[in-house]
Amino acid sequence: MNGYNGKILRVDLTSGRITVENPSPAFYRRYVGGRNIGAYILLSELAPGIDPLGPENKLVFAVSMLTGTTISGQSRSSAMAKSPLTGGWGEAEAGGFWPAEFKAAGFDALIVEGASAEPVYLWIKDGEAELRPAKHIWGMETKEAEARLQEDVGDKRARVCQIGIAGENLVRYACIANDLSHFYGRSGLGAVMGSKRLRAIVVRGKHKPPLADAATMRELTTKFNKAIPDHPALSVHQQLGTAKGVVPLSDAGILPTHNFRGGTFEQAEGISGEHMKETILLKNDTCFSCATRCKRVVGYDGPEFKIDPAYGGPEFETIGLFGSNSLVGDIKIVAKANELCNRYCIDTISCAGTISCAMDCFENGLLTSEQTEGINLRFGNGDAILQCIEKIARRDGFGDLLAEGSKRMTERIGGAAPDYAMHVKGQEIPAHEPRGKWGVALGYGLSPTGGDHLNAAHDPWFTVDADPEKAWVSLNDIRPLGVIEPIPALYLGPEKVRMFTLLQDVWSLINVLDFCLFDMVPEFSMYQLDEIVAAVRAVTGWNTSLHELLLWGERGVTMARAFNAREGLGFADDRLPKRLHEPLTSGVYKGVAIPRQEYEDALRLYYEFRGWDRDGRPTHARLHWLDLGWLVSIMQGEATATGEQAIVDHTL
Amino acid sequence: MIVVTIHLSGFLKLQGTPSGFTGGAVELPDNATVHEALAFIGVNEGMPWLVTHNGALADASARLHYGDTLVIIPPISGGIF
Repeated sequence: MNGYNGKILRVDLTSGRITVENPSPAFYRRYVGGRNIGAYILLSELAPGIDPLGPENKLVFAVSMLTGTTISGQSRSSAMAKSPLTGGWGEAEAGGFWPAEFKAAGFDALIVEGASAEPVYLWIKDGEAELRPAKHIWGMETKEAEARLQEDVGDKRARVCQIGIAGENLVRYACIANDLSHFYGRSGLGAVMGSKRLRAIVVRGKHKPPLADAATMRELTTKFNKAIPDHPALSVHQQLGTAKGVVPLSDAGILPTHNFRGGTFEQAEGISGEHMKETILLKNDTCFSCATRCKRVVGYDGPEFKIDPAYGGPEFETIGLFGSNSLVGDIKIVAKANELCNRYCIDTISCAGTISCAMDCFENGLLTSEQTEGINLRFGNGDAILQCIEKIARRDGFGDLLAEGSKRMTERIGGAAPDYAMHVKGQEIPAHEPRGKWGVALGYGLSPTGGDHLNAAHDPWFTVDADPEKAWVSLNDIRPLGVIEPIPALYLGPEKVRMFTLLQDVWSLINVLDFCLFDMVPEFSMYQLDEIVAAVRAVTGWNTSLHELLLWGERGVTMARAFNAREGLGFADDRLPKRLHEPLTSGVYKGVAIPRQEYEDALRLYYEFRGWDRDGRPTHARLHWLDLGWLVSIMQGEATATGEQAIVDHTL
Repeated sequence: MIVVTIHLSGFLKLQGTPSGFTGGAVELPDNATVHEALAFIGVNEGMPWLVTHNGALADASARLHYGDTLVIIPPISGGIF
């Protein structure tokens, strides 16, 4: 089969049994990769209501037909499980070199189930897999653990995916690292892996699935790589990384500041990509076969602390939340916070969101110095942030409360504390201020993982009918989807909801194909949608179309929603934090709030567009339309997943 | 003539406009509009720039006055652009 290994690896950590399954070609055509393979497995095999940190939960890693090819943006994979943070759909994507190496090791997906009595790691090489003891690296920091694992397997080029001590200690927003500095950041999947006592997955291989049309893949690779230096935005992306957005967003009044009170930060220059480049940037890093090279590597050796470059450098989200949102204007503090989170494998977004929420509680008298164990948890106190991260990773004292995330933490604190928790479905929202772009509010509310910025487009791009001959960001990019006229940013009417729905399918497709958002989003005229179709055709040889690819995207949205609906999540869980319905206190959009009624009306309209009921539950008609008829009986409660293997029994 | 300060933000500041303008004070005719100021510095008007005028969202047809400040911000969505 072109583009795939045709094999899925299943590892039962309770029994130590390792099996290989061979899905049918139709399975691959229907579920494709990433999010959709994970959704199929989790919906088929998990019973609703299970403990996310119990052995019944399963952790799935999956790649797509594009993974490991030469085009920029393809070396990513998805990880999925029931989330210990939200109790619903858990998913995160990561890049680096591990995804391509995993595929070269001979598999398209990995299912981890059960739990081991003792710490173990999984070693996969050239189609073979074995579990090995990991007691000697349990409790070790990730850099040392990676070196030990490479030594153990006798191959310094082996790629390591691992949890850190936060995952071992079941921090609800612990993450998983690839190659030390690329992260499956969201949803607390590191805690799931830790609950199974699986410390790492080490991979090495040389298998390359055949391509149907290698010449077209070479053409697409060359075209993209040659275009980067001349592209006005991608070239800056290469120079400054994602941190390039800090100052413009502050100028535009949509840089989250003071736990989402304001939109402009006076010290934005001090945490900008430009300042990082001038002070602590050592070099750029990249993912397998990607010419964009947007990743940062920073280092610092000062009297107050050192920053180890092995852990990469801060991305925009991390800077926005540990920086402006916490009123910290020093890039070194932000970079140190990032390094600690990476060292221990903690999601920087949820961690920073939880700490700034705790700062609000502290300043408003809801947390005392006694409770914080003497930490002066005031906004702007960078040292307090670093102390908190150390405590969170170990669930030490006050850190045990912070390790629960802002929702659970504020419910325990009580009083007005939940009003300071900026989360959706229990997951902290990232560093994008939706009061200046209301479609982002829909993205937060309707992301199946909770507060997440990688589920929908940012509406300012599509507010002007830019000339496609002159502009590198153009509405013309999304006209193939049927969006033909500009739509205002501060608007939640039917046209906006329609555009959001159409674009959400594209964003979901990105996670099905495990492609990099920076290279594929139809916003800035790099890969066009028809070129993605061309790449899929070239790899697989399938007679496919944009229509079928969008169906894959919608299938992903709907399966993730079905997972949440089965867990009891619905309309009430799509609501935003109270503060987003209150006026911004600074910046260009001062005084603007998300209108609650318009937002809730938009949710209902979106459900209708999707073919879901009034509580957002996918209807049996839409499930059949999406060729997901097997989900109907599961959603109606007539059949429940049994924990039995589903793939080998899958008949079409 | 009036003097208006124009700041460029983000990659515009880094790369300048196609006419080579990188920010600073410019002289414009009396009663010049925001639209005319953008044309004067050579900013591509086909792009979805966000423009602020004395700290508030700009109206392209608004008249400028001596000492006004414009900030031109590229389309930006956080981590992406």
